[in-house]
Amino acid sequence: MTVNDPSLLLKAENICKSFPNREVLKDVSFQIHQAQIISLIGPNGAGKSTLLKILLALIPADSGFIYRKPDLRISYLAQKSEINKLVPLTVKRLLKLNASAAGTDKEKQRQILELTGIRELYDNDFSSLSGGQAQRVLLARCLLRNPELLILDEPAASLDVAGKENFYHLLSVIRDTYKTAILIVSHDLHLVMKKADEVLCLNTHICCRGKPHEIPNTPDYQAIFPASEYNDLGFYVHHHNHCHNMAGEIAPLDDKEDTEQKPSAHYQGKGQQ
Amino acid sequence: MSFLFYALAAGSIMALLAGPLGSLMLWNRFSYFGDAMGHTAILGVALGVLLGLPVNFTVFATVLVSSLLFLYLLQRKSAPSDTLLGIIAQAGLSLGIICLACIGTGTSRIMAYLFGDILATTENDLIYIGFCTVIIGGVLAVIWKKLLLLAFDETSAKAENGKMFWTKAAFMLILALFVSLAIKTTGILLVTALLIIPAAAVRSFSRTPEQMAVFASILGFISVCAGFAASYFLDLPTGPAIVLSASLCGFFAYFFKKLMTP
Repeated sequence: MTVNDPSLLLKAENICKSFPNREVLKDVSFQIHQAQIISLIGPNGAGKSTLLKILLALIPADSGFIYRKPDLRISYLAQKSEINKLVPLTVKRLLKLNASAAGTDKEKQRQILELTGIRELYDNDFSSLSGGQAQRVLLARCLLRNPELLILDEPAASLDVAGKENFYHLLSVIRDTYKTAILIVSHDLHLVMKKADEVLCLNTHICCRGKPHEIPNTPDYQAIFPASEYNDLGFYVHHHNHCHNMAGEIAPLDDKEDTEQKPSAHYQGKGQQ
Repeated sequence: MSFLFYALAAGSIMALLAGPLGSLMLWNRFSYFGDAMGHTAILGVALGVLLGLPVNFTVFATVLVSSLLFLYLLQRKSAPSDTLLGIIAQAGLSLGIICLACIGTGTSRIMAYLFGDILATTENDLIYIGFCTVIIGGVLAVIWKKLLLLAFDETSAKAENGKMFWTKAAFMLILALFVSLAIKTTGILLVTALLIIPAAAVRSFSRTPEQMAVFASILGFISVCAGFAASYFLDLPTGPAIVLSASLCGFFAYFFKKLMTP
């Protein structure tokens, strides 16, 4: 298969993956173009991490096709729990560790430190940083590699709403400044990044896809998310024509109600509130 | 008195190498791996005696083959890593002991392999150690940064640099070389201790990876000297004496740190 679109970075087609006794991914297809933000959401156990590993070529898919732009530079921001604090590293040393792979000049390095706000942390030990600080340092490390595609696994999981808002704002600035494509993985099924070009809802297969919405302009929502303060959070409304039973199998919707009015109908029986 | 010089030189070089290697083992959570290699090394000793080959060489070959087998089985996800290590180590150890029992080698000679005999170092041993040091140093210089990235965050390192199979294989190669050198100093059963204990003791005093490697080398050197002295003046087995002095240094470092930080 030939791909002629130069802005296409990554394309997955009909990806299937099974582990013994369990189908994890079924016919997953999507693509990421330059400067696009894709939000991949789904409940726990939906196959998000497995899909990430396949995209990063860490494990093979059982079937399907993956296209990567030749020599695609990917940076991956891991979950905080994956970081090993046994290695004694100052922030400065950590950032220099992969500097040889980076195509960033002095001016851009300065800009990245400014953007992520980690200049004053430069001489601290990485292991002494707070969760939010560590995340910004790791983000700076990713950016210094000059990536075309930035992949983030649950970056907002440990942040409160204001923290999410700040972090998503930072990501949208990064996209606008460097034309970096961004893939964000999250288990938050409704609160997504407003600037996302596409939201993919994954539960073994892609259940639905669409664009994020403005936070509804009703007094209830506005009380929690004042529009003036939360410009970067969006709301995702699921459009499902099926539901999943306790075993995760696809089942027809049992009620005739409009699914748009009941966005969480899809996850009944999965412990979602 | 030249045998004293050979012994001290061999011990110092081992301590020097143990600093960076032990730090990398600690960061990559390789302690169990080192132990397992020490056990399969017994099979290497048995093979050397059985085939009449230099024991250094057969130990190196056995350890390298079993660690590559481990890496291969791990990639195939045949079983969790600790299970695999347990199986390979115990099977290698058992096979080695059976071979040695069949040959009927004297106990004192086996004890020297297992627990080290630094005073028996010869000029040829020193040449072999020097040769291996050059290889270990060279490989280490090439893979140091990659192993740091791998230890810090394995998923990102692999996502950004490929699967890094060869980096890990090269690390195992130099560890296998190191084990084959340990016959003279700590002996093959206690080789992990010389690697891990100094590195663990200096972790909290180090701000950079290189600092930790250098501190660990210095502490390793002190331990080797103490073990050497115990071996020479008190006629104690070298390996256990080195390991005990390293542990004592570790304890002192821990309490020193406790006193310094209110």
